[in-house]
Amino acid sequence: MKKHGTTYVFLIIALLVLFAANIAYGAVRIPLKDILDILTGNGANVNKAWSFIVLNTRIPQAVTALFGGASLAVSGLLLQTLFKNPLAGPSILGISDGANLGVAIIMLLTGGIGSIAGYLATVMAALAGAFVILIIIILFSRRVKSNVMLLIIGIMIGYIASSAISILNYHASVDKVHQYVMWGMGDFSSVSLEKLPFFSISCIAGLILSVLLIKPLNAFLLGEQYAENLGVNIKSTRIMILFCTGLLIAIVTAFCGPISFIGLAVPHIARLLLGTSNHNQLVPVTILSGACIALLCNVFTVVPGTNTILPLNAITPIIGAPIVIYVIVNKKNIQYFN
Amino acid sequence: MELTINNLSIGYFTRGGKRKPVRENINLTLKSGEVACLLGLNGVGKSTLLRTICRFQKKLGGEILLDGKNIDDFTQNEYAMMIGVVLTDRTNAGGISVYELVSLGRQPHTGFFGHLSKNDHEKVVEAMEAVGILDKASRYVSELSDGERQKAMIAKTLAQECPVMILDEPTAFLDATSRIEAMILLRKLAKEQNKAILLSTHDLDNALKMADKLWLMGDNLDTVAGTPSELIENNIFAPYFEKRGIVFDKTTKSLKASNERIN
Repeated sequence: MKKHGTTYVFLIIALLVLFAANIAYGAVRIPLKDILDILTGNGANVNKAWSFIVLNTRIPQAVTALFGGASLAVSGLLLQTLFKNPLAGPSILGISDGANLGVAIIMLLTGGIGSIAGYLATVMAALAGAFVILIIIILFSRRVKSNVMLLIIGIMIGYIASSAISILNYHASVDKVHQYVMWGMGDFSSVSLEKLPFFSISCIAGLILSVLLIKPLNAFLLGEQYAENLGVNIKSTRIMILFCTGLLIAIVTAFCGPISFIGLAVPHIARLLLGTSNHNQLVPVTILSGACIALLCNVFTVVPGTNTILPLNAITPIIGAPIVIYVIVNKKNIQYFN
Repeated sequence: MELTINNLSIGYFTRGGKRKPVRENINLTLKSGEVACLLGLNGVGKSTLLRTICRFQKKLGGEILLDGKNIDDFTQNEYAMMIGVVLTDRTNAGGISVYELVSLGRQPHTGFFGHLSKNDHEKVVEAMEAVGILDKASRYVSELSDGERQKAMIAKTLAQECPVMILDEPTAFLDATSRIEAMILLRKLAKEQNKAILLSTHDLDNALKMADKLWLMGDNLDTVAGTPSELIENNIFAPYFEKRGIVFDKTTKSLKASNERIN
């Protein structure tokens, strides 16, 4: 912990700066002074629209990015440790595909999501889809002993969900397909102020659970049999890990769409920063880095000097992919998985 | 501490719940201070036996006792403090330090968050000292040679403070020197720390020289135990390894191709 003090300080400062940047910077230019006035409650003279943007759009969006990024990152880490696979991530178990399928059913088969009710239905459908897949995976995990086989089953289930989505897409009208594609691009702005408490509390619950799993996660570094010999109950721990990641992925995907790369790349960033795969440090640093990277990506969705917004999933790989490539090319780092 | 195996059947259960025995009627004992080498050709069930003793898989029948107590009656955490293992499994521990690896052995003794007390830290240092790897404490596990890695895993087991240590082919990937070094280390631990040590190996040469006891397993042969010399003198040893064209030479205590085949 002493050795890694600077890493924590750096990340916390970065988190604060990026959070502030998310509030100060957006598609609409608002002077910094007015933002401060709005935040300190002296916003009576400030443009009403600006006040609304800051309080009802930017703050919820920044909080969503913070928790969403942290949640995806830590679920990626848990899956990488569980499956002993550096390339495991939220999309790999089919859980996010389940969410996609749920949304696809609602958007492509029914009237779509024009209304508030439609929006809620989308979230519920994504949650339902993700949890159905999660339950299937957990049921298989009780039957299948090998984690590699379980991983393959997860990927297969993901393919099945993707096929169903393709069929739905093929038969849907153009505007519905467009709507679905837009959802699939990821977006931290879709959690409204009213939904924010539910979203945040769910994420925090999952994040706390991940912290509680630190001890068995470290034992898992040695493999399942060693872990079992160290007193870890493999079956229940595996279910806890799957439940924790499933919950986090389901919540984030339901509200923000399938966000790529953060879950896969951030655990590697955290290992690079720390130089260890000890979860005592890795879990908190992954949570912090995930929040930072998500806030950073969210800032970059607004093209500087314009009011053009780019889809989130167009930004995350630009930041995430070079890191994954670096990890693969740099031998010293890939050895974390030896 | 005494490990007693009575009338044990090992093997697998098929999908329909049918027993598929690999070996039956096993009767063996292992005492504190002893190093026992489990020998036998590939596929005779050595790993199955070790896995069964470690409770990684269910036995088909019979009983395994630790000081008279059935091993099924221990909770998982209690058992984690009785038997420590070194396996051939690939690990993902390359990115932690040797110190952290050995610390994992303290897990059965630590609380919910795995926080290490002063006493735990002392045990970890003692364990590394006992296997002679203290100078590598801050190295990454991925930087270790195979021999050093095996020592680190043995230190992990020591930190676990188990009276019984079980090692599955601990010398398999080691060079000739490291193999002997590992065997000397295990003997030292058995004598000095009064551990009961059971290891499987294909290294007949070192097993015959250094084991207190051999456990022999073979197809269509009873599973037997004895000291190396009594097993060899009574011609019990040879049948477990001889095949057509391969004989055991009692004078050199090694396997060789029989003359008829060479000429």
